[in-house]
Amino acid sequence: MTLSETAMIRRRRRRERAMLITVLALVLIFGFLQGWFFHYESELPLFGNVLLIALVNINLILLLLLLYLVLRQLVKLVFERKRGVLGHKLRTRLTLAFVALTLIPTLPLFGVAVQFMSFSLDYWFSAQVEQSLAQSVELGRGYLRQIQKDLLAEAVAVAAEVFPDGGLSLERPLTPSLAPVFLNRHHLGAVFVADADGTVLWSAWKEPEWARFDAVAAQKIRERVKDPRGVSEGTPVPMGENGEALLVLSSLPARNGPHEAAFYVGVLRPLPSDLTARLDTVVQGYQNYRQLKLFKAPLKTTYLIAFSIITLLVAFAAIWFGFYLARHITGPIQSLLTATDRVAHGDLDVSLQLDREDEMGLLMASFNHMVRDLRSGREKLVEAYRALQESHEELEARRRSMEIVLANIGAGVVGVDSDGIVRAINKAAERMSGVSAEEITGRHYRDFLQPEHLEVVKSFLRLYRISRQNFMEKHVQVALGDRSLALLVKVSVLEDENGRYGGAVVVLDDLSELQRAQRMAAWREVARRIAHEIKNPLTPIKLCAQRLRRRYAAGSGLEARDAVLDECTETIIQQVDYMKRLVNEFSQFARMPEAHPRPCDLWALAHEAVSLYRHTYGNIRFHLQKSEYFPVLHLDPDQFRQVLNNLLENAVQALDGKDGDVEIRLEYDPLLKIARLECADTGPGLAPEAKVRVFEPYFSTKEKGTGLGLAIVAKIVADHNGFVRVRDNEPRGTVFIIELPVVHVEGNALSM
Amino acid sequence: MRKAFFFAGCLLLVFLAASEPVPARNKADITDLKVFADPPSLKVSFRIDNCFNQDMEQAIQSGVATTFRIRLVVEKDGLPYLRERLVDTSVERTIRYDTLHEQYLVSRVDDPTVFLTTKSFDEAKAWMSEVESLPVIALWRLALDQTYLVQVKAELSKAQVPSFLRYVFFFVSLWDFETPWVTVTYTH
Repeated sequence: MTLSETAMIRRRRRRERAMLITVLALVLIFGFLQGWFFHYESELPLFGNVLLIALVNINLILLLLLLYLVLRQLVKLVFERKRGVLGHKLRTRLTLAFVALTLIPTLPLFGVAVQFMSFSLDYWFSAQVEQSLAQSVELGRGYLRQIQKDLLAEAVAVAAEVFPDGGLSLERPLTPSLAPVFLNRHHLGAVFVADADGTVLWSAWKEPEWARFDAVAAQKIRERVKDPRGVSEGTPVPMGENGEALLVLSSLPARNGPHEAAFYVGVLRPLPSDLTARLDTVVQGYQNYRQLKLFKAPLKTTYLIAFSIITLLVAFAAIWFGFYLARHITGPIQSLLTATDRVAHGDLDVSLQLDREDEMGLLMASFNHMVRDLRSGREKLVEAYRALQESHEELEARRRSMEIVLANIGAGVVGVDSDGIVRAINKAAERMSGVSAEEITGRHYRDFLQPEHLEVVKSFLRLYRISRQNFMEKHVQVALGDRSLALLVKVSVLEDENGRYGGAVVVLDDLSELQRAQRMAAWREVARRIAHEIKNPLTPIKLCAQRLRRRYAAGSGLEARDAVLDECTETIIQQVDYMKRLVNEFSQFARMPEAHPRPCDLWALAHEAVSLYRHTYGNIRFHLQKSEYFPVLHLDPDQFRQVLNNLLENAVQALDGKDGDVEIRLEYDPLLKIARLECADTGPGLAPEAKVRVFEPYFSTKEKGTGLGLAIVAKIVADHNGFVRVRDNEPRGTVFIIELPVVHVEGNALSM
Repeated sequence: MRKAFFFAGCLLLVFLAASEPVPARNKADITDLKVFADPPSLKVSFRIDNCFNQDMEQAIQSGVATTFRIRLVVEKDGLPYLRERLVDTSVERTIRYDTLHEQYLVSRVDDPTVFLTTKSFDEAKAWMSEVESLPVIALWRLALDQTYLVQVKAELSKAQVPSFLRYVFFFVSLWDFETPWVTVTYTH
C-alpha cells in the first residue's frame, strides 16, 4: 500500500468518523426538538404539523443512517475475516468485547426499564385510583346537585313571593332598588321570568353590571325549556371573570290547567370561585386520567419505542466506538504485521508512518529503527558477499587452473589428508594406478592398496619417522596387474601455519619408459662395442681353426687325423660362427635403421609371415583372424615383417616343438582409433617377473636365445609411436599385444 | 460517504411514498347530500355516516374535544383542473363532554363559539354528523343556466388530547377518519 493510499484511507476514515458523530448529534438535537414541540407547541398550525412529521422522519432516517454506518463497519469486518486480512482476529475480538461490555448492562437495563414502566402504568391505571378520582368527581356532582336542589326550593319560594296570586304578571314586581335586597335575602345572583317558550320576560340582577350576561342566561333558559324532561335540571352559566353560576328553572302552572306550564321562574346563583376552580381541577384530573387510560396501550408502545430507540442509539454508539477503538488499537498492529511480513519476505524498504506519540508509536519508531539497522546490515552483508564472491571466483579460477595443470601434467599427484583419506588424484595418477578417482577419493589408502604397494607407503612412513623431513623421494619398482612400473615417488608432507600435520602430497613420476629407453640405449651401446670388439678377433680365430684343420687334414707331419683335434677345431669353428651370428645380431640391433613408414597392409604382411611358418611347422596350427574392418596403416613394411617374424618365432619356440596353436589377430578400435595386433600362443606362458623384463635386450627364457627378438619388436613399435605389452593367454600361453595409433583416415585407407 | 447519502435519499423516498396516502380508519362517507337554493343562499344538507367508532366515543366521553372539519368546494362545470373555483372553504364542528355536569357540548357550524348542550350522546353525535341547510354561496354569484359542481368532504380535524399525549399520534394510529369527496351538480 502506497503512502498516498494510506493517506486517502485515513482521510476517508476521518470523514466517516465526523459523519457518525454529526449524525449522532443530529439525532439527539432533533429528538429534543421534537420533544419540545410536543410539549410546548400544543396548538400547532399546519406548518407545525409538517415540521413535526419532518422531524420524526429526519430522526428515523438519521437512525437508519446510523444503523447503515454501523452495519457497514460490521460487513467490512466480516469481509476482512473472509479475506484473512492481518489483524482481523484481534479487531473482531476487541469489537465483540466492547459490544458485549455495552450490551450486557444496556439490555438488562432496557428490560428492567420497560418492565418498570409497564408496572408503573398498570399501577397508575388501577381500579382503585380510577375509583377515587370518580368519587371525587361524584362529590362535586353531589355538591352541585345539592345547590341545584336548594335553588329549586329557592325558585319555588321566589315564585310564591313574587307572584303571590300564582298568576303571571308582566309588570316587574322587583324594582331595581328592591332587587338587590331581595336577591341577597335569597342568596341569589339573578331572577328570571320566562314564558312557556323560554323567552325571558324580565330579569333582575343582583349587581347591575351582571346584566351583560342576560343573553347567555336567556340562551340557556331557551335551551332548557326546549327539553321538557330536564327543565328542573341545573344549567351552568359562564359569567366571565365572576366564574360560573348555576341556573335552575321552576315552572308555574297556568291558570287554565295545572299540568301546563304557563311561565318559568329562573333563579341563578354564582358558585364560589375557589370551589369551581377546585372542581375544575378535580374534573380535569379525572379526565386526564381517563384519557391516559384510553391511551394506555399506545403509551406502552410509545415508551417501548422510545426506550428501544435510546437503547439502539447507545448500542450503535457503543458498537461504533468499539470499532473505532479496535481500529485505533489494531491499526498500528496491522501496519506492524504487514511491515513484519514484508521484512520477512526480504523487503527492507518498509517504513511505518509515525502519527502517534503513545507506546504504540514508540514501538513503531523502534521497528523503523530496527528495519533501518537491518537494511544497513544487509547492505554491508551484500558488500561482503560481493567481495567474498569475487574472492571465491578468483580462488575457483585458481583451483580450476591448478586442476587443469594437475590433470595435464605427466606426473601423477595424489593428495592425502592427515587421516590417510585420499582427497584428490589427478588423471596421470589414475592412468598409472589403473583406478578411477571416484573409486578411491574419500577412502583410506589402506582400503584399496595392495600389500606390496602398502609396503612402499610404510617404507615412506618409516623414513619420515626417522628423518622427520617434509620431503622424501624414492625409486620404486611396482607391478600393477600385468605391468611393471618404475616410479619416482616424491612425498611432500603438508603442515599448517601452526606446524600441525595436514596430510601429504604424493607425486608419482613414471620412469618406466625412460628406464627402458636408457636401458635400450645402453644395450645398444654395449651391443655396438661387443660387435666391434668381439667381431674383429673372431675372424682370425676362425681362420686359425680352419688352417689348423686343413693342415692336419693334409698330413703335414702329424699323425693322421686326430679325432680330438678334428672335433675341437670343428667346435671352435661352430662356436665362432655362432658368436659371429650373435655379434651380427648385436650389430643389427645396435644399428637399427630409421623407420620409413608408408601405407601398408598389415593383414597381407601377417598372411605372408604365417604362410612361411605354416609350411615349416606342420604340427602347429596357425590361425589368422581379422576384424570386419581393419584400416591400411602407415608403417615401415620391412620392419613390421621382422616384427611379425620375431613374434611368430617367439611363439613357435614357446611351444618347444609340441603341438599347439598360434593365432594372429588384427582388430580396430574406432573409438580409440587404435589398430591392435595380437599374437597368442598356447605355450607354458611367462612368469610375472619375466613379463616385466621380457622386452629388455638380452633377456631370454631360452637357453640359446639372444634376448633381442622382443627387444627389436619393442624398438620398432616404439619407433612407430606404438605400444607393446604382454599378458597371459586364456586358458594358457602368452599374448603379445601391439597397439598402433591410427591418426588419419582418408577414404578406405587409413594412415598412421 | 456518497453511498451513505444515496442510502439516506432512498430511505426518505420510501418514507414519503409510505406516508403520503394515510388510509382512513373508519369507512366514513357522506350521504343524503342535497344542494338547494334557499334565497339568498345556495345551501347544502348532508349526513356523515360511520364517523364515530368505539375508540372515538370512549375518547370523547373521557373529555377529549373532537373537531370535524367539513370542506366545501363550488366550481363551475368544466374540464378537470381547469374548472373555475368559486368557493373553497371549510367549517368546523366540535364535540366536548362536560364531565362535571354530564352533558355534551356541540359547537354550532354558523357560530363555533356557541355550544349546544345535551345529556344524550346520541343526540350530540347526530348534531355532529348532520348538517342542515348550510349556506355555501350567495345565489347572486351564480349565473343562470350554469351548471356547478358542489363537492363536500369531511375529516377529523383534530383531537385535543393533553399535550404530553400528542406524540402518541405519530406512532399509533387511533381513530381518525376522512371521507372521500362527494360531488353533486347544480344548475342554477
